[in-house]
Amino acid sequence: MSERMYARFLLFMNAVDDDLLEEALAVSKRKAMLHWRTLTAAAACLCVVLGLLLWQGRTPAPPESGVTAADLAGYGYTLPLPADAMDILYDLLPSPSEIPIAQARFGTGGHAVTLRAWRTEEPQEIFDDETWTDQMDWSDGGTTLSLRSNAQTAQVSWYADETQWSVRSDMTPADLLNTVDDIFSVLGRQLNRAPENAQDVHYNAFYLDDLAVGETSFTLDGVKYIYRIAPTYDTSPDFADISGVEETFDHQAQAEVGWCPARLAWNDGGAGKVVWFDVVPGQLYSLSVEVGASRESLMDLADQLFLPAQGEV
Amino acid sequence: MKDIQIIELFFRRAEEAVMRLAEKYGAMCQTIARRILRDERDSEECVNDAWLQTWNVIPPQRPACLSGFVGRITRNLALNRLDYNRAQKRDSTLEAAFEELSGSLPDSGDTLTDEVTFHDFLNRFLRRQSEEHRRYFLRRYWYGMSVQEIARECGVGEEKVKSALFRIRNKLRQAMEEEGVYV
Repeated sequence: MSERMYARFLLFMNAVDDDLLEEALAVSKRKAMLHWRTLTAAAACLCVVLGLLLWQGRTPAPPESGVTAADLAGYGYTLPLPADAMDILYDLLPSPSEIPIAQARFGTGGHAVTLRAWRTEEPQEIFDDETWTDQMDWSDGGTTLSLRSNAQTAQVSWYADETQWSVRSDMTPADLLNTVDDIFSVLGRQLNRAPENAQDVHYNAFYLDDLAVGETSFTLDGVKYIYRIAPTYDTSPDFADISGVEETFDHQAQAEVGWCPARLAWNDGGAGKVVWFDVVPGQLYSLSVEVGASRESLMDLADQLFLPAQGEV
Repeated sequence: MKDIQIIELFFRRAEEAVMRLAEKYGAMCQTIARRILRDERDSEECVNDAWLQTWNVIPPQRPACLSGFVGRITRNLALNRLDYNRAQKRDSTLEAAFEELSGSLPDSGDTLTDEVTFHDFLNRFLRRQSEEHRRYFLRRYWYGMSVQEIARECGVGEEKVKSALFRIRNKLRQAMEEEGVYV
């Protein structure tokens, strides 16, 4: 290789950003996710079947815009609507690119909801500007979400699989998050972290001591549990307790959930909590219960719920 | 041992961390270094330096992908040593791969693009490609892997990799000509 060519070689070799160089060596998604592909395909088929069943069971409102779900599908959109969505109106809105924004307006629980999706290479704002009084951003299940709200309106947005999603409604932020949780389940993803056989599942997100907390409350065998997750940059061994439970307990113990250090506190047959910390990638967890606590029951459920944020790569 | 557990050992400052890292990624890093340096002893020293550098940066860093993280460190350390091997007039596998890419790019013009502008151009170009094609392209021309290796590790056919490389090389040439980037 000539000196001129070698200079060109060094210029190229030193010009690529570190994240791209690391991405290139990461385990191929095709290889690592082969079984997920099968599952995703099955889930997609299921969504189509369920969607058709639900759609046929409804009396669609007159299409004011003349746009149908089939028109959206022509642009590669299948909007995931909650099972109880009513009076659905589809539309296609112009965007800065050749691909329009897909929209569905529908009613659920006596509230009007607008869901928008836009296939785009990077996150975008797809609703008109609004003055928000509260806002928070958090990550859950590998997806970063943002919640914006004021006295009249709430909006949740997230970007996944090269699509920007945004939902706006006159619901309270907590109710809208439950609707988003329903939408996630139609998408084959999971926002709430409740066990499969849990009932009365609710998802919420809020700030607690400057930490963005994602909370799932659920009832299991007649007992109500609250499970929380919050990312943190603090790696000190004396990690924070995000359970919000401050009472005094008869018993306290150290343990491990998975490979994570954990602290337990409980009253036999009464209230109890377990908090643990996964140092990589820096995630705090808590599980609390109001009645029926024991060391075994808390640890069993914590082990069952704990899904490491960073699997083997 | 899982990556996440190895990283946790680094955070605990346990010396076992380096041993586990070497067990899991030693062969991969040795291969990366050898493709650039060819000299076995140099490659070994380079990989040992990579373990030391990893120890120095974790914590505070928490790599999302440990293999990519140590692979990138090894590659950069090996490139820093390349000058010595060049004095022995022995081109590396990576240099040979690069000649394939360089041959399909436009000839240098009278006015050469500066490093900063080229860096910006190249990364914008790469980020516009699909992740899959970018992976093939960087593995071939920035890590010196053969088409067969890429196909095997990515679980695809060799023809698919060859075709993707051909298309990206053409796209890169076209983008360089359109933006007037000459190097």
